[in-house]
Amino acid sequence: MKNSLRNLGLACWQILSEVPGWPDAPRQLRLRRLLPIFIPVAAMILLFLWNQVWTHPRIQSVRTAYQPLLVLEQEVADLSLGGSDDKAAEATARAAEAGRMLLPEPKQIGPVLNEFTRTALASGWEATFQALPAPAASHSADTPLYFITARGKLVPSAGNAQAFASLLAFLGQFSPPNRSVDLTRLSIRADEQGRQTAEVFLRVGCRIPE
Amino acid sequence: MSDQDEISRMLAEAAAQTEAAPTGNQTSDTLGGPTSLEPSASGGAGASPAPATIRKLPARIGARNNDVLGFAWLNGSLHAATFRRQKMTQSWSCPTSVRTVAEFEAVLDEALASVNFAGTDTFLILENEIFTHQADDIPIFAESAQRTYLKSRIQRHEKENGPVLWVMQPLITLHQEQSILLHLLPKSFYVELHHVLLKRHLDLTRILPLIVPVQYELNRIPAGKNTTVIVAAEIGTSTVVVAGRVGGPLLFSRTILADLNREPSRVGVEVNRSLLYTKQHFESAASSVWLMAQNGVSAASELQTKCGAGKKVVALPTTPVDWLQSAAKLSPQQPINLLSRYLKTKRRTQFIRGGVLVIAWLGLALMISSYFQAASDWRKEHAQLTNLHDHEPALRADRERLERRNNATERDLAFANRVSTDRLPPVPASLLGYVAKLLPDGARLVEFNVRWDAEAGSWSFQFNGSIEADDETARTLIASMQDELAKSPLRVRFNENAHVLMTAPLVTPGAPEVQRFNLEGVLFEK
Repeated sequence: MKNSLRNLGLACWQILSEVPGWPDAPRQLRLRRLLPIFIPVAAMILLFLWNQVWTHPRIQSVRTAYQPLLVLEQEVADLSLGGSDDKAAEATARAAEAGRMLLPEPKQIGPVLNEFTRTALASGWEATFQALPAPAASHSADTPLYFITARGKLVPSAGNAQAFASLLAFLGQFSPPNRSVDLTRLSIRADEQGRQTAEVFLRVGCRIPE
Repeated sequence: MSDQDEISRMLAEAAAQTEAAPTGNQTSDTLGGPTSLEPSASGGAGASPAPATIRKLPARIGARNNDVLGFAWLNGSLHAATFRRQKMTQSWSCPTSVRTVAEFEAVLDEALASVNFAGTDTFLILENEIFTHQADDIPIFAESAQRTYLKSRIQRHEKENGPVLWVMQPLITLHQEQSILLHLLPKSFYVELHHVLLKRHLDLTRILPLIVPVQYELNRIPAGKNTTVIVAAEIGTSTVVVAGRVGGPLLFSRTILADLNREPSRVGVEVNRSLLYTKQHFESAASSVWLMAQNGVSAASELQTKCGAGKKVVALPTTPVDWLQSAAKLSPQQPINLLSRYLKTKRRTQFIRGGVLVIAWLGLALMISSYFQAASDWRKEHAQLTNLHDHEPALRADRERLERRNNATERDLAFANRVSTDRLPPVPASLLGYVAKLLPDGARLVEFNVRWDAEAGSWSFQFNGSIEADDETARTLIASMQDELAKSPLRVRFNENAHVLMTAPLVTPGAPEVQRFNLEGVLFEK
């Protein structure tokens, strides 16, 4: 192995330092002939070492120092891609529209119920609505929304010959699209004479003040 | 500055050093030569017959010098000529006889000065007593078997006579046998000669037997193709007779130790013998004899006498320099060369070195280019990082603003969705309307309840009433209504355990039979 390496080295030396027409040229001349090969190889080695020992570590250290900033920049980019101002405006508009469907505060349920009373009267029914106290557990932590329950008793007005039909028409007005009011319970009773009474339970969406 | 110029400068320096210190005129390269043919300088120095002065190279004509120097050393006569692109530029003939390497070295500097040679490539046409040529017939083998046969034969020869340089020249093939001519030169002679030339920085790349330029001239003889001819060539004090076919193979070659000018009759007898041998052995009579000598006109008549009147004898005035010109026209790669292996090695070495040189510089250029590009990229990156650092507060503000914006968007969307999706459909009114529509004639509702169970997330209902019909009819009508409700968009499901129908007691005699019913269940409509 040692001899093989030595022979290989000698062969390389002979080939690379060959002087044309002078096979046994002196070592000094051979060395000079080797210079055109030695110079680029040495330069490559020096460049490589300079890069590995000096440049690369320096660049790495600077990159490491700036890493938090790069992360910050990436976060900003991700956040920018995660939404847009248009989308935010649209969401705000939708939220505002949804907010208008809710009562701003529980006290304002009175006018709503009064309105239902008037509507019922117009439909041939006398209505009595009463707001019930809302349970504390109904408040949602995620969204500022909770429901207030109200109970109403309905009896047909005197002279209302079409009590059932007018009741059906009136019940259809309990879920207006622009207000968060839903009918949650309906009880109707008819006595032997055919007189009907109804009881309704409503839930009205209310916004939790921020 | 080119390699050649650099080498020339180094050679001049070496020459100056040698002249200053003649005893140490050659720096020994202990690493040895690239091929086994090359002698070691130190060993050769001891065998050197005469001290030599290092050749001072003349001023270069161009950046590279590809001139070729040829020596014709033919039985004591020495001639030299330089060639540039195969055209002779200068020639020189030694006025004295040169027999030994020492004598060769003694006149070599004068020859070099006369021909004003500035290159290194040198060839030699050699004919002398120690350069032997053995004719033989060998069976036609495969090439590898033939090589093995020849090597064993050379080994036997070397055991008796010492190491030789050799080359095989194929002649004609007859009767499944290949005629060959083995050219054998003692290696010691070559080593001695090579050393003498090396001291003058002459690279001996070819040693050719005279038969090589003779064959070249034989093929140019104005005769029909494959016409058998005999050429008698003057080589100093001897004569070479070569029989061959024009444009075809050689038949045989022999050397006659007789001077064509001084003993023309003897040469004539031998040429005549060659004619007869050609006719008998190769069954083709030579049509003409060509006499190639400096002054062959007088000898031609003698040969005409000896060979018979029917033979055409033509004298072609030929000087040894003409042989050099013929050899110069041959390709350097022509195979009949005792140093062909050295030439191959030399070409390979130059190719490898050139390749390494190109790769090294190309690699350096690529590396520099790559690093330059990397440095440029890094400068840009660093500028970006610096810019980033300068704008860090703005970035942080941006991040906070965007986080707020995205969170608000998410919250708003969740709120809007909650408000819209948490709405309950108007199921009570719908179910009441459906039931009222499906209620059969004679039936009336007494009680109707629908309620939303927030925990279960479903609607439940219960209603009861009465129907004026007998039990069977009432059962059928109620079942039909149940079926219709189940198929409705409200997807009503009735409790199977509920008591659906019961007979009501008759209050008034003669009144129609009344059945009470009670239905309860759930709605899958949310």
